[in-house]
Amino acid sequence: MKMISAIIKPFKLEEVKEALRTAGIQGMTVIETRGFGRQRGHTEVYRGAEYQVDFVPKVKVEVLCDDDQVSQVVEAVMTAARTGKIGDGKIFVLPVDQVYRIRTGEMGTDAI
Amino acid sequence: MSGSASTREPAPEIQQLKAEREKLRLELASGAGGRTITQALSDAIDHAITGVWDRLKPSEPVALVAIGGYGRREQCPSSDVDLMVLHDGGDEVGRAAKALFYELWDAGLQVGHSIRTIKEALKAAREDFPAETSFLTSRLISGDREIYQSFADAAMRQSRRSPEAFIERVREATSERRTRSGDASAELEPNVKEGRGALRDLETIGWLATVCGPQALPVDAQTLERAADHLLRVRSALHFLTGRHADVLLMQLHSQVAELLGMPAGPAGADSGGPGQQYFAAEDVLIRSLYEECRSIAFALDHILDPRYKAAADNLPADLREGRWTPDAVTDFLAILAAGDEGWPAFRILDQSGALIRALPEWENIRCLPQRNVYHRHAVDVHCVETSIAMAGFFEPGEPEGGPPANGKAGKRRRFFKSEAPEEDRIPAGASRPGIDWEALCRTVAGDSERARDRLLLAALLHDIGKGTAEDHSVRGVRLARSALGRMGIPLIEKEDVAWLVRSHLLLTKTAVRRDVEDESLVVELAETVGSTERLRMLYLLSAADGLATGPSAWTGWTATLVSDLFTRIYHLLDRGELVNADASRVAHTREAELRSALGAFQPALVDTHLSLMPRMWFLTQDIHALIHQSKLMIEPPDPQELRLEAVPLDQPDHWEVTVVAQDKPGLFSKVSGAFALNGLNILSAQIFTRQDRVALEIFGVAGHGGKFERLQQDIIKALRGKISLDLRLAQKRSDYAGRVSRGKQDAPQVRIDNGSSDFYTVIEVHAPDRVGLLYALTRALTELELDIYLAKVATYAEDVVDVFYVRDLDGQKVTEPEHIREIERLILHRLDRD
Repeated sequence: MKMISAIIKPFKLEEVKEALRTAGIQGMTVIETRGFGRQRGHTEVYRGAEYQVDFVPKVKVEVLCDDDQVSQVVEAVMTAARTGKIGDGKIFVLPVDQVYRIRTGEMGTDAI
Repeated sequence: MSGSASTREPAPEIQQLKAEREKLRLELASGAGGRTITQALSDAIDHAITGVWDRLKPSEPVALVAIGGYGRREQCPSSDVDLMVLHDGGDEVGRAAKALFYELWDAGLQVGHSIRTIKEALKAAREDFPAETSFLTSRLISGDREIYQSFADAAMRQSRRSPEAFIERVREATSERRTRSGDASAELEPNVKEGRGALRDLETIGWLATVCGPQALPVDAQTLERAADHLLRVRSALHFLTGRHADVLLMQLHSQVAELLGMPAGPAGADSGGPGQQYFAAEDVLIRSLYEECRSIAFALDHILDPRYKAAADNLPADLREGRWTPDAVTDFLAILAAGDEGWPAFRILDQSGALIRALPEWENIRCLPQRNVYHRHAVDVHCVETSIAMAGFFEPGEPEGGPPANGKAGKRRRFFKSEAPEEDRIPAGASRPGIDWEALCRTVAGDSERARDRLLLAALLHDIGKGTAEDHSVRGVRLARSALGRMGIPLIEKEDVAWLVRSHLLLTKTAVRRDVEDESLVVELAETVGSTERLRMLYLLSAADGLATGPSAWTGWTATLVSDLFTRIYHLLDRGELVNADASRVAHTREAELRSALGAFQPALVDTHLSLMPRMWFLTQDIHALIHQSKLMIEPPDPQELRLEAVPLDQPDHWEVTVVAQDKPGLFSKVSGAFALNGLNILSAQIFTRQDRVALEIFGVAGHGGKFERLQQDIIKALRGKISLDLRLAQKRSDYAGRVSRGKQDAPQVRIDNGSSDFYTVIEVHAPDRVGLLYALTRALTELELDIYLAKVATYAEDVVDVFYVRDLDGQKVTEPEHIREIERLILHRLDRD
């Protein structure tokens, strides 16, 4: 089992959600977050006054999947989230030791 | 059920109690009132306790006293039984009392227990406010009447010694309780015991009457009693359903409670909203009725505790009180809104007395209307008022430099959701900010919008007035807002501004989160929709106020950063005006329409794509014939290797207009320019537009002999494929021309790199004396530095050339690093100097 954790541009969330649904993933966690890589923070200017923004708003989407689904899920997210411009984000694939469904106690693949 | 002594049969009195409880549940479902239920339960508990005590009581004089809610006979099914064993010393009391408690606990009764002498009780009252107030409603269940009466009289005397001090204790406890337990008169999951306007508020009114004497109440006793009865019904239902001492009416319990209480579903009363009937499910009827009752209770208590209410009532203008909109009434009403938090008493008086509904029947749509979603905390009407308060707060002076004053008062501006204040508010100046300092930006924008303050307050108050039906509330809200403003006699222009704000109040926030704001076309479109910097400022403030008033998750630093970014981008476009002023918009739209009809032969989908992806500047700078001609050349995207070239002779001999269309690649413009130079064609003017699907349109005004354009086309293709070196060829050619270009007095070439004119591109402006291959040299330099040219304008004036390039780096961002900027300047100047 793997956790796919993707940091994406906020306005791409709908598209990524759709792409995941098409790839067969139904559940996900969505977190508002901020960050930067090579994309820099910037300065907003309003009538001569500057307002610094060091971190850029992003959205993190986390989903769980079986090992054999990973490349399909990554592909789906990558295509949906890409704009070709800097700041598109990153996808992390993390190993998962165990998963439990709280309501029933099921574990492993049954709990995904 | 503790189960520790399960071998022992519960006493018959206890069994009777259980039976009684079950019976009462059925009675509740059949419509029995709250008082009936709670009193019957209380009596049954009395009976059970008395029965058990009779077997256990000692010979010493002892009084079994019911205190607090139990003393008032307001026992809900899972309420604690507040029991006090009052004695005068003696050895057996402790043992007997404990035996009583154990037996009651074993039977599953939550007995709050204390064993006290009168002196101990009075001491407890002095030290603990809840104890003090519980004694005010005490009752003898069984035992020595004299001991009980001495205690009751002494406790009353003690509290009455200083009514002012008592009120102070009440104020403090009430304020703390309401902060902790929320507002039962406005929240989706009200705490029917401890929340504002709920049972505890009602008890508090009773305490104040007992200790401080009868209070003048703005609500009659009948209304309060009805409210009490209803709340007790709801609380009893809650206890029966959860089997626990649960006081918060959680969302998932609404329909069960509504069903148990037999709440009817059905249409709302008089529909003053036109089409779109409001229909309430049973759970909404439950919540609305709760809100109504709790508001009456809270209103009554506020009147006693909060001196502002009397002042507000005294100062309330007669016109407003009667719901008449004279010009003075409008001014006074706006003053109430502008007062922010301080305006609540006056507003509540208007609401509670019915004056508000008389004056603005449209308000009926959202009064006591619950909101069932994750974001919104409060009923719609309360949310609207909160939005108006937040708006008023933007116009108040903020916190002084150096942070809040030492006395802890957070300055005049109210801090929303104190316990959830985002951490970025505590970041010291100069440190890295996770998000934009939106509070500062809002204050600045508000400062620029002083003249619009009244419109903003009205827009804030009315922005959600359209909620409650299936119709889009922004659309419905406009009708209702116009109607309301019409009643108030608001002049047409202001009325339309407010109506527009109601219609568009979600525009910025929604777009900022869902669309790519780095897309200039999107921002152009929004700028046209908004139309003016004044409206944009108002919209921004309304977005912030609405978000703040919605809940802590709605307007965070995260959202604020995105919305503020979009705000400044739109602002810059509107401020500069060239792309989106009224004329520009009109021209662009007219030309687009004409283009559409002229391109009728092509597939509509292709036409749509083409028109939506071309930059606004293209529509504005080309006349309609050029637009049509260029569109036909580029509407179907070229293949990767394809180069389309058309040359049209101009009036002047040896002058041509050459249009080139190709897929955009790094260095395309440069190579095309170079090929022109190679073919002896002097570029007098050039314009570059890049369609968003990376198709480049290049229009050149050239002069030269021959017009061998097939050769030109071949040269370009070869250069693009790397088959010829333009550098080499042009170097050779320049040496041929060296003596021939006239050199009069020449100004030094100048380069200006401008990041202030556009939010979307870095603008590079070059002034230089004309020479062969100049444009090639310049664009070559830009390509070398990995700059992508999106738009360009080249013009020749006598012997000088002015070139403007709109560029981004390969990452798609503006060029902001100082070293990169310096390098660009140096390289360009170097190339210009090569002669």
